[in-house]
Amino acid sequence: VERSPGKAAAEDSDLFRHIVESASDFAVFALDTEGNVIAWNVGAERLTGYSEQEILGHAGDVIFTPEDRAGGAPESERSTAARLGRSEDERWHQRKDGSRFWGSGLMMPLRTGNGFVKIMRDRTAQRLKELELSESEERFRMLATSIPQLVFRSAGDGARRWGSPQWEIYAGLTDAESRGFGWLEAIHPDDRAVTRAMWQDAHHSGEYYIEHRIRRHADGEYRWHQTRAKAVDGATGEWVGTSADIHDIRTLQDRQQVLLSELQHRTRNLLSLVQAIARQTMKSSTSLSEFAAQFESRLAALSRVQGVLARTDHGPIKLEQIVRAELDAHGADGSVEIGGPDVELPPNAAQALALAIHELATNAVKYGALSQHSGTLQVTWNLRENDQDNFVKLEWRETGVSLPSGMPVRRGYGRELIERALPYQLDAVTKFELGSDGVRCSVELPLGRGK
Amino acid sequence: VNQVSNALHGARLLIVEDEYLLAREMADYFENIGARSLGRSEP
Repeated sequence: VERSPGKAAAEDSDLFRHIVESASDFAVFALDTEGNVIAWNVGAERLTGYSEQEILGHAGDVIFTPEDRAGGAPESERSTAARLGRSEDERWHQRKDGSRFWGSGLMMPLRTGNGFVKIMRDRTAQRLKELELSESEERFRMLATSIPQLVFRSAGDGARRWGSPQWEIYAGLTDAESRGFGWLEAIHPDDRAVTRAMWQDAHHSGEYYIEHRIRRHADGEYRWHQTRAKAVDGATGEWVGTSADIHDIRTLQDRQQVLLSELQHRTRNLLSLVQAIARQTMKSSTSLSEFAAQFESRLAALSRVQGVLARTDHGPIKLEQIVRAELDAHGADGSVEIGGPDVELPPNAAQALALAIHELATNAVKYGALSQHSGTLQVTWNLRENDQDNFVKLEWRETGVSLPSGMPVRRGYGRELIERALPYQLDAVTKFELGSDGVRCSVELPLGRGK
Repeated sequence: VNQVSNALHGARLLIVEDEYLLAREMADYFENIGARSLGRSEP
């Protein structure tokens, strides 16, 4: 069926009108050259809240916000459309009830030249999402750039997409240099392979974790860092992570481990020594009560010297301190002559010598100078040196003692410490004599050069 | 213990221990199970 041109144009116009009127998702309206509404579809009514009846013949700029109206936005839009043939516009608009919507529109001049047509879509939801994303992004940037940790974004395989300014400064690599796998340049060469490999594991677990060394550009030092990352967006495959400097903590932990091992070693040694003292005391004891008294006394001596060692953090100990501690523990009064130059002994020598002096003092309290009014005791020491070493010679000299008949003459635990243990452990030269008026004992220890 | 004793019976041992009392304890122990202590190492 053929249509006449006039009828066809009328039918096309009707068709267009029907389409426009039924396009409820789009606001379509026309304005005259002054900006008054001359056409208003159902979509415009739905979006703005103004009915066709109430807005026809009135200014269409009521849908602009007051601030945009004051700024001349409606006029500017029409002017641009008239000049360029189209004017795109995306901004907040205002409904009849005062609420706002984000309208994205296109205005074009009518062919007749007597006005404009505008098609507008409500994109409020998308705009709010964009704003939310933008704010979220801003908050992330703010956080990521203000914390001490080095922050990064990467793909799931570890390919870097962004590094925080802290990273750039710390590693001395720009963001561009760090992108992809350029950041590996700052990782210690020995740690690079495992750093890459851990990203394979992370792909399955959804979490990345490693402790590795990152070079500090400022001084070139590789410092231990704990790097963690998590997948944050499945759609984009985005991961976000941080690297925290744990170098000091790790160094302290290593040191703590060394100290713990040393403590365990010393504890085991001390327990073995206590066990050995118990066995030796047992061998020389004739009764349980004698064993108990001697063992307790020897443990007390060991405890005293351990206490002194602990106070000096297992550093050198003054010889005079050891001598006085043992004599004081045995109740020696001021009549004992003690004297010599300042001498510092290493911890192992201090303990062995303290145990030996303890035996001499115990003997003196039981049978010697500290048990009789007539007895005197001198404990003196002096220094000597030769080409090889420095030496300290301690002399224990009791006089005025009448030796009791019950005094043991066999070589007991005390003499063994002096005559065997000190030479064995300290390379000492010792001499023990039971003189007619008391014990004489000398112990000469090498001190090492510079002591 | 018996297996250790048998294995060490007649063996000659050098004990390396810097603490005299511990070295002596060890020497006594090994001598009791039939080993022979050659001595103790220099500290």
